[in-house]
Amino acid sequence: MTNDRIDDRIETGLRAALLADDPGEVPSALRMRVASIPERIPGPRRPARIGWPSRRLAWIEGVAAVALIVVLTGVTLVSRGSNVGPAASSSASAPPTENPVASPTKTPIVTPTRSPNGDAWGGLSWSAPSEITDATNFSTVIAWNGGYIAAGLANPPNSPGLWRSSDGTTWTRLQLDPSVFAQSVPSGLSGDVQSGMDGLVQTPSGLLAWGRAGTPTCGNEGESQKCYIVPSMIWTSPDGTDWKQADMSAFAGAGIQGVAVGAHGLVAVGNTGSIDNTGSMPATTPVIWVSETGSTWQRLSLPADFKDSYLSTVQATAQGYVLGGEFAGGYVQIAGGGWTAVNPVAAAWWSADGLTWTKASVQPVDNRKTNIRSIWVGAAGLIAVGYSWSGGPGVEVDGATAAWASTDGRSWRHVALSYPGAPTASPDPNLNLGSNLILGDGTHLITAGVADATGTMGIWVSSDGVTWQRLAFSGATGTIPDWHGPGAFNAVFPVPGGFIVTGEGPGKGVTGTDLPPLQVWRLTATP
Amino acid sequence: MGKQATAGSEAERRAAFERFTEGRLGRAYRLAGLILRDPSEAEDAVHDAAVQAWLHWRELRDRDRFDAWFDRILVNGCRARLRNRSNRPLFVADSPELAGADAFSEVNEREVLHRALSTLGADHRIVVVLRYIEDLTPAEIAARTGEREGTVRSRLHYALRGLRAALEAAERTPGGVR
Repeated sequence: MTNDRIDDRIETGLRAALLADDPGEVPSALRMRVASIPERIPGPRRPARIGWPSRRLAWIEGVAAVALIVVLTGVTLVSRGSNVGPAASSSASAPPTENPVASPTKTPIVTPTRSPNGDAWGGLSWSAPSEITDATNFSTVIAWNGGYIAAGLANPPNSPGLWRSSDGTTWTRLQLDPSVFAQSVPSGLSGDVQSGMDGLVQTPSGLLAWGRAGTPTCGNEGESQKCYIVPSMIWTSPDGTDWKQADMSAFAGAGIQGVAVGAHGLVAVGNTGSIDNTGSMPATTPVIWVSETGSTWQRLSLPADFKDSYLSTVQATAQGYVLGGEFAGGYVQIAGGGWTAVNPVAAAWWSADGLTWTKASVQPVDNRKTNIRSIWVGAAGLIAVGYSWSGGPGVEVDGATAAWASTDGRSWRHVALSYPGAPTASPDPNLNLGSNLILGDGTHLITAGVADATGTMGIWVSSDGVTWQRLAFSGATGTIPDWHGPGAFNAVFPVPGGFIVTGEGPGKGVTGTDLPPLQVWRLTATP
Repeated sequence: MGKQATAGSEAERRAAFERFTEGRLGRAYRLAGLILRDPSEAEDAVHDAAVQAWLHWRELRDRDRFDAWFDRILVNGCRARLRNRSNRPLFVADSPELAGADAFSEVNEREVLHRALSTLGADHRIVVVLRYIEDLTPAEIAARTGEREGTVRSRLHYALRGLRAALEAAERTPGGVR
């Protein structure tokens, strides 16, 4: 089948495929429920009701609803108490000092006060773009062995791939042993997964990649559809070409969210199970694993203050390690039988050795719900990036990027992102930047975004996550892709002395199904 | 005077809801159903969006823009529900075995597309539904999702690219699309 024929079939078949999920006529019960809203909700605002499983609980008035929250939260805490044991190897000596429920008072905002750019990056020189014809995307690019190595989605076939480059512009795909990467997940379809390899880091013994591979396990998702959770997988290599699978016995039932390489070894974070729609109580449990080489891993027993938390990211720092995520505040059942966090708030922990973890203080953002999705390291501090929103359980209102700055990972201050090009209110999770619209290379914190009303791309740099400076562009600037739209760029990867940028080049179709080749630029920092 | 204004606003609010229940509820229910792929959850999403619209009625400055305003509330609610689902690491939707005969290729193709659609992320699925079911332009979709138009175009592109990859993969699979 030619590409054109496939495109025609998508155009003609898409509407029919979508309409397979048409719910049909409006149920009379819904008509009655909506029609009765003015009678049931006469006041100007009663946000506590929004998002409740009102089909089931419409008859419950305020007091009963509050009581139900308390009961559900209590049950959740009891049922999950055994999931996170006492800290056998943890300090556990520092109970959380902050109230996990956001303060109703106005959040003080850190304001820019000093020069941001510690080591005098003044601009970026763009190389001419190079086309990578055998890749759909790069999900990770890191500096390695005097050059660069990229993990991504190969095309063809639609499978995980690795590429090497000595200069950042000419890339050669590595030949991988198919048996080592068998059953890995070349999805490329889900907005959350772009490749079988989710991440790639350099270790003292070579390279480590993580992702998902293996036989899926069956979930419970209704009568006509089954869902599968694909097991996590870690691959290690001494040279980038000879890869082997790690011993994954400690990762049963868990997903990996991040891996950090620090002075005391490797630390991976993730969560077991899932918050799902099966109607059962949520069963996620935060997990931390440690390893010396990446080939074998040990699962830690965590302090009690990890209970009801979800871990999203880990980074190595000069002082040790930091990790971030959210504290759920218990779970409640919402419409459709699913579960959602009652009052998620951003949470972080720190460790000097990767083995003993202490909860950090994270400043609330007004009375909004928050989480942390990524943490980055700069020369003068750390920045945690996540999301904040309001609304009742299961309802998201006024979502916006949120960020916190810290000098040591033990105390995090909410910082305003008000500079031009700051992350938008709705980060695009389908770009590699996603909520990671702020990135770091260990010295510089950088952010990329739209710089003006025409959609021109801009890159800003900071050393502390508080003050930011836009970098001037030079070199092959005529080839710079717009932030979005035709020729949109895909991702920015910080590497020593600059960045690797991927995109699709100018003048390509967007709403069509044509597949423009991946283009790669090398950006070199200038004074 | 103040009392009259309040009474008038309240009456207008009630009238808007009557119009909504009479004429627009069906479209909203279908939109939520196509995004969420779960009729009972769509029911709750529409109800919750209606509650929000009722509570925030005074924030609607241009009454002629009710449809876009309500769609935005509804789409945001659907997005939140999809994201709550997506805390699972990865889903691979299963489907019945695909027949191999050419006579069934159209059915197979629709099934492949349907399965591929089920794997789209929340933001991708929303723009595809709004574009191909509601026939909205990227600018109109942007108004309903709160995104930039370029973001909408980008998401459409990546969603369609994923669907194309699914068809290509099915073509290579014995018994897949021919």
